[in-house]
Amino acid sequence: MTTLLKKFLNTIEESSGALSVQALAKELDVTPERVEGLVDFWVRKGKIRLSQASQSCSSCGLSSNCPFLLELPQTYELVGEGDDGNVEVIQPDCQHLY
Amino acid sequence: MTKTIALAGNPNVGKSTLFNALTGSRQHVGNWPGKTVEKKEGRLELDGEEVLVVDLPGTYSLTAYSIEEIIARDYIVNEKPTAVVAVVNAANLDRNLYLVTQLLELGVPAIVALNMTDIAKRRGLAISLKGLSERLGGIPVVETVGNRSEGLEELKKAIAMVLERPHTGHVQPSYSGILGVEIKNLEAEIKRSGPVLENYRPVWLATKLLENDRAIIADLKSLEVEQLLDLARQGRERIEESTGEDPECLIADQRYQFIDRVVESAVERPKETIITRSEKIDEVVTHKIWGLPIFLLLMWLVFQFTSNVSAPFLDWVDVFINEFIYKWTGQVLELVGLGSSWISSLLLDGVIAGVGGVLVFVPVLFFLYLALGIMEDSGYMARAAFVMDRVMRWMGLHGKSFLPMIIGFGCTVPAVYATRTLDNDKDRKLTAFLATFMSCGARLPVYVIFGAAFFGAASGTLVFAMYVLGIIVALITGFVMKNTVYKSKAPAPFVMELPPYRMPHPRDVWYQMWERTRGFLVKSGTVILAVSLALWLLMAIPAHQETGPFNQVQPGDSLFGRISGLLAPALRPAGFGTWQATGSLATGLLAKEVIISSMNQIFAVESHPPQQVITSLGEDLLSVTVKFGKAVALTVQETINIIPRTINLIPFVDLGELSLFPEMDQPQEATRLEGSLLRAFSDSAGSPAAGPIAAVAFNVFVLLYVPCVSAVSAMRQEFGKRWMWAQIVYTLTVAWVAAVVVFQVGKLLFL
Ligand SMILES: Nc1nc2c(ncn2[C@@H]2O[C@H](COP(=O)(O)OP(=O)(O)OP(=O)(O)O)[C@@H](O)[C@H]2O)c(=O)[nH]1
Repeated sequence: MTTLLKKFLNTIEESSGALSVQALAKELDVTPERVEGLVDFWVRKGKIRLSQASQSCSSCGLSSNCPFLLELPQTYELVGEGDDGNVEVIQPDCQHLY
Repeated sequence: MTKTIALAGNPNVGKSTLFNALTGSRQHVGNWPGKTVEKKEGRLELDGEEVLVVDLPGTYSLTAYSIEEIIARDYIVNEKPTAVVAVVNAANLDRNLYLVTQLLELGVPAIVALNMTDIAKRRGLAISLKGLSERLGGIPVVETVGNRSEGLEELKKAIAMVLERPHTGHVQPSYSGILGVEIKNLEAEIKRSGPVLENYRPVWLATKLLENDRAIIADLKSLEVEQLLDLARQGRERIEESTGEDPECLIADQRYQFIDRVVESAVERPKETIITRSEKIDEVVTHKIWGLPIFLLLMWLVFQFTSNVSAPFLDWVDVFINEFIYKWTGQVLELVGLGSSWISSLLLDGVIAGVGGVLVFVPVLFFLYLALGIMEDSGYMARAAFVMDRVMRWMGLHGKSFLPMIIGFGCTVPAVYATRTLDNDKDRKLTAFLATFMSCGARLPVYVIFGAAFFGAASGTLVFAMYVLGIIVALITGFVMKNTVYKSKAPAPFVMELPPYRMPHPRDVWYQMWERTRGFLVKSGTVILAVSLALWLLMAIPAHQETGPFNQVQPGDSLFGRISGLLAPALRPAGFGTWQATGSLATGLLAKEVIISSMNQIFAVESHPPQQVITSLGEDLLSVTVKFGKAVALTVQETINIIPRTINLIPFVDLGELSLFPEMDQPQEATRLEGSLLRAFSDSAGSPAAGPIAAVAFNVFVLLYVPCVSAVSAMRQEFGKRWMWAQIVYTLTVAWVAAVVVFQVGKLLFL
């Protein structure tokens, strides 16, 4: 018997391209919310890493938010061997711009 | 002793909101002992009795993964609050119940506050409080809407009830199979260990030991229960042997099965949800085969919209600044006796021509950001990255690289920084390198103005072609680099949260559009004003004494003209080897939109003053107003015409287009800037027919050559000097080669 958690990892591993949470949910026959839960689990175990492009660019003198940063979706990815699995917090700094 | 309740819940479920509502102003904020995590405590009066309320950090689980989880768990295990209020997001019960399940396993008296029920209802979820309570072993379940303080009284009542008679009829996942056997084993051993372990609920501790929970095992090591730890290790090994699975996964899996049963009997979902509707759209939009053509078609529509719809306004602003303001400022200067002084020249040919050059493209940017805002707000942007993943993968590139590249459509600088989301340094450098080829907002005005001058209604196609070319050059560059200098293993797949589609919110779209246009203008206004003044000066200083005194020199003989002239021959094979084009490109290094303002300024100095038809201020004002009205009407017309033009993309279909001002369908009288461009490029290309080819080559060069100084310095800051120079050399080479190829091949094909 394979647990749902294992199946989840295998599906990502074997995928030939990007997967949406929805597609993954369909593949595993669960709700998208459950997929989020599976992600939580593997993030805790250090097998999956989250990353999201920054939404703040507060150091530039123009305004508190760089208007050119789009709100990009959250992505998850398998942590490869040799990676430490740290999630990087991104704070770009474009103060030299203005 | 005062009774204590703790609030537990996932992050962002409205825990703090409920905490504030319960305790009002009677709070104390500090830190958890020895931790930097904030600890909030407050007091609540229940039937005349004071109760201490503690807000636990938001967590998804109670493992030993993060400080927050350990704090929350240790508090419940060691401090033993009288009851725990589990704050749960009703709109995402599935995910939230994972934590609730663990609270049940801990054996604390609990109350479920089903928060965000407003959102759940809006999504059509019907949650049976009774069903949920029954399935969770009879613990009270209360509906709340935290930010509207709804359900507070019921919550307080439930708390009072539980405090009165702490409820312990716990249900929990019934661990079955070998897992159940091993848990029973350990439970028995724990009970045998006597008082050292009385702090823990035996079944919970047994589960944790099988999960191999680092923090718990470390705690037990100091309690000298070696035998128990040995047994636990053996138990884990036996489970792994017989199932081939990690015990922790098995335990989690059984929790999920428990949650499934709870949700199944307590929640009723609508048949057609927003989610399922989104999924249906996604089946088409992110389809393996259709995804890419749909992406391209949408891009085509965006640029049809941006360039054709803004063109009438662009013409109007051009006329308004370059004729109306220019003429009447001149008149005023004449009146005060400064008619042909250098001050008049500075004001007219420096400030007005230069800054006018920026204002010319306000309409373009406005419509670009409008279109981008709609794509973003509707949720399509994320899909674009998703679709491009496939293309990127063919090229051996990481699909996630397309996220920063999409930001590059707005501005290259944040795109360079956004590469920080990529984990691997090689991918980061490569992506930043490629992102500079994405056509940023500053390059767009150049294409639009050239498009309007040389291609009229087809200018949208030119703009679209430039954007696609940028993507193609980036992909080819990536492909080549990936297979030569940057060999690395195939990119790992990734999972992306695609937000559900929604109707774009006019206010949000408007706000974004406004902020971006404003941001752009503030930045470029400053740069352009500075450049215009410098440029005016350089064009007023003669290169030699013989060429004339200060401010009376022919522009071509000025310092600027001569220096640019030295570099111009290098661009001759591309069809725009004039000092004007070369000089503008050089100023474009500061910011690409400067190219337009520089050209505007150069041609303003060069062109003879427009022949003076004597008109009064009143007449001019009226004419400008009438022209504005016409621009509005034309914009409407062009918006409508996008429909036939799109349908005409189908081969052999040729629909007619709407024309409000038939008399304007004759070749229009070009505005001053457009007219100058037509003349200049026809001259440099060798014939009027070759002019448009040279113009395209010029646009290709603008797209591909060195990005502005801000982007270059962002590259240096992120990746060092070597990369910066590599990029400068590479982009210049690619731009030159591409422009020459376009011009030479174009001449062969079309002349
Ligand atoms: N629509 C809706 N919004 C709510 C409700 N309760 C809280 N919110 C909003 O949800 C957001 C998050 O609330 P918080 O109280 O900060 O959440 P939290 O759980 O304390 O978050 P963490 O501090 O991250 O644990 C706030 O903007 C609240 O106004 C609710 O019942 N319905």
